[in-house]
Amino acid sequence: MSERVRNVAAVGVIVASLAVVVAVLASSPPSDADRVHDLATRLKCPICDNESIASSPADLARELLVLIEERVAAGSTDDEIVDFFIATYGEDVLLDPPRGGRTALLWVLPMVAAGVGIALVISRRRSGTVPILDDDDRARVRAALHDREAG
Amino acid sequence: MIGYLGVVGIALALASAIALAVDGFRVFVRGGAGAGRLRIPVRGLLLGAVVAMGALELALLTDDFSLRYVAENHTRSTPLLFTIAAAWAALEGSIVLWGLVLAGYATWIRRSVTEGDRIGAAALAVVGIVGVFFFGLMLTAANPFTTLSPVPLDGSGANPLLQNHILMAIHPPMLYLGFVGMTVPFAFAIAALVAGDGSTAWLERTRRWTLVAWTFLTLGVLLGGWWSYEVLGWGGYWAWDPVENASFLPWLTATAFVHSAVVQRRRGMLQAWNVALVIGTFALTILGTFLTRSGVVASVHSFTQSAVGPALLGFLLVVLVAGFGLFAFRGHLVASTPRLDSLASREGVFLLNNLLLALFAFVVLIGTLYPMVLEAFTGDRVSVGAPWFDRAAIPITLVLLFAVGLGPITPYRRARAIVVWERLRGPLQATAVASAVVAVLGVRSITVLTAFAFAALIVSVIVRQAHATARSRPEPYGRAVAGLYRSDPGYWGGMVSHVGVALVAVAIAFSGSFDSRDTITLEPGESADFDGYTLTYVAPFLSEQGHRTVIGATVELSRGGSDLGRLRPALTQYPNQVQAIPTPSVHTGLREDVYLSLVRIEEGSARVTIDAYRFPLMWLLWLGGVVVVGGGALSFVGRRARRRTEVVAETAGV
Repeated sequence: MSERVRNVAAVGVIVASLAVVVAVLASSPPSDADRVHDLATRLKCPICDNESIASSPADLARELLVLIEERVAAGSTDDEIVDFFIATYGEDVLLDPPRGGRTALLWVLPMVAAGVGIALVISRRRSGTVPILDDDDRARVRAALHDREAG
Repeated sequence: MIGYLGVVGIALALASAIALAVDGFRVFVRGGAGAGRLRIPVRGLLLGAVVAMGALELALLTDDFSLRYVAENHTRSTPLLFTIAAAWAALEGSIVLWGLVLAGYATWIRRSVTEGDRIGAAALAVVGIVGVFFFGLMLTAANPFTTLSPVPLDGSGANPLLQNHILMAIHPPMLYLGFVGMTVPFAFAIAALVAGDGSTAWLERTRRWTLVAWTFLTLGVLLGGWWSYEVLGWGGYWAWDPVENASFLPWLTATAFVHSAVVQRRRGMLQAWNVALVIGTFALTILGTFLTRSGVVASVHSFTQSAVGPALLGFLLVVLVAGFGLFAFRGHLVASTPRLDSLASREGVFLLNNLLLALFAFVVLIGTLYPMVLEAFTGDRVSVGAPWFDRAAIPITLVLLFAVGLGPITPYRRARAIVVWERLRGPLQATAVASAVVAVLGVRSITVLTAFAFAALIVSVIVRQAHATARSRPEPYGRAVAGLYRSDPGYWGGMVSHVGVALVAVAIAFSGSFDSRDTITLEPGESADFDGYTLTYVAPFLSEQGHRTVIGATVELSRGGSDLGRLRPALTQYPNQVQAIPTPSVHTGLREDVYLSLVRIEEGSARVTIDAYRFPLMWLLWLGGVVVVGGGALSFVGRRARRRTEVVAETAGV
């Protein structure tokens, strides 16, 4: 097989497979998000340390899970349920802290760190062009290494 | 009596640590003359630490309740294994273990320090200083040999969570072997800074210790996750709990260091960055000890409150100020001059890996510390939990996986697109086809598909590299494949670890996305359906096991008429605790685990409430973790058979 055929075949296989993936993803109905479980993982069990209502075995967590189920069944929105929990247990009931106020830094700092990292990489790059070995040089390196191997 | 022996051991170790620090520094100043003499304080350190640990074990084994530590962490009815493990079940004893491990590493370092080795002497002096702190702590704030009067007839026993499973006997020593092992590269990095030695000698020398420490640290984190899954019964293995993060943080920076050390050895770059990473990793191990042992985090691990917290915090500050102060003033002496030729190169991928790991560590660090710092300064309470961590961890991990995949096929210095394409062509096809198959089979989540695709890329790239390298060698193909590992144990050990990382990534993605859970209440004899399985509650059981009482339910598990055996989730009641400890019961299958955790058994009616969970591919998580650890071990046990063989391989592939 020539290089050209290999390249075309490779692109063909990759594009066809990706098409299958996209087609499958597009054709599948949007999954019914488990709202109760989702909410229960975002809310802290008020009497536990760092455990969500979903994962805590405490009796209170179980009662609150039932409460969430009832509210969801009664048609409350996610925000209404979350607001109810904040009003009842305080803001630290949120395991996913709000983006503003005293937890704003939690959202800003990682972004700043990522920005500094990107700036660092760009500044580490050497200016100017890099000498690239041409094919003759490569052949010489290969031959030299081959000699070393053999000898 | 035993208490006095222990105190004598600690005092000997402390005196030896002081002598080691002073003498090591003196030998360093004299340019390494008299380095052989350092043997004496190192021996004293080891002897003292062994005597202290031995005395503590002896006191536990002989039920010497005149010692407060024994009375608080041991009972006459505690089984032998947990009696031995009680030596590190609480704060004071775990500091003794820390000191013993440190003395062990000091002995190992000493064997490599010969006459005239000033860097080695300075490194031993740094180990001595660290030893002074920990053995000093044992004599003061965390003395395990303080006595009680009157002497109680029996002790109260350790935290039941810590004596419920054999893993608790193994997990802390493994973690400590990793944590304390990071002292070795730290000591040598500080020595290189003090000496202003810009060579890669310290890195070459500490390579094996760093890999040993990294491997144990990985094993410790893995065992922690496994313990969480097998013992805690909340249906998971990782909760971004501050104490879990405490062990994960140094792992992240140590992993970054293991990789950037390769760049420094191969290309002479990132020298100053490596020094900073090592100082940071060591500081994070002290931070981890502070978080787990000071009681600053009210969590399951932080079962102690004492004066040790401020001492550890103070030591952390000293490490940070002295380490990074030294780095700020002398870092330029060890900084490397070569710069990156191009971002599109192996060095560039390594740099990406390092920045991502550093960013990951930073995110975990602020997420862990933010609530504590905020509460300390303002009194406000906020929670930072799994949803917040996941949001940052998932994208960072996905890009990291992609970098792990690309790394091995990217040439050093500068990657030409045509070369990369030629090497990537095969693996990309395999990856695309595998992803399509998985999508057709029913995986619909984009995150899971991406994780799977990158994992497939990692594995297929490694297979391709092994194949191409073996083919380029003069010997027959079969022999060449078999000889790959011996040709470069460090590299191929690393590749084995990468395969493990790919397996872990797939397992985490699948088990986290396709799990299900239900709470089931059953009368004896009743059955219930759970996600295609049938659970039949056969009968309750009760057993008195000396120091504890176990109540549980025998549940028959079947699927489509075929019997899958009996599960026995239980609740264990310890005499010193109000709350019973759940002991989950797990059925592990090729497809998935069925995990039952007992919530309660009603007295009289014997009606049970059980939490049932289904986690796909959990075995792959543990297998992958073992492969990561195995790869780490392979990279430091093997010695390279021939030098520079991988250069041949790489050039041949161009």
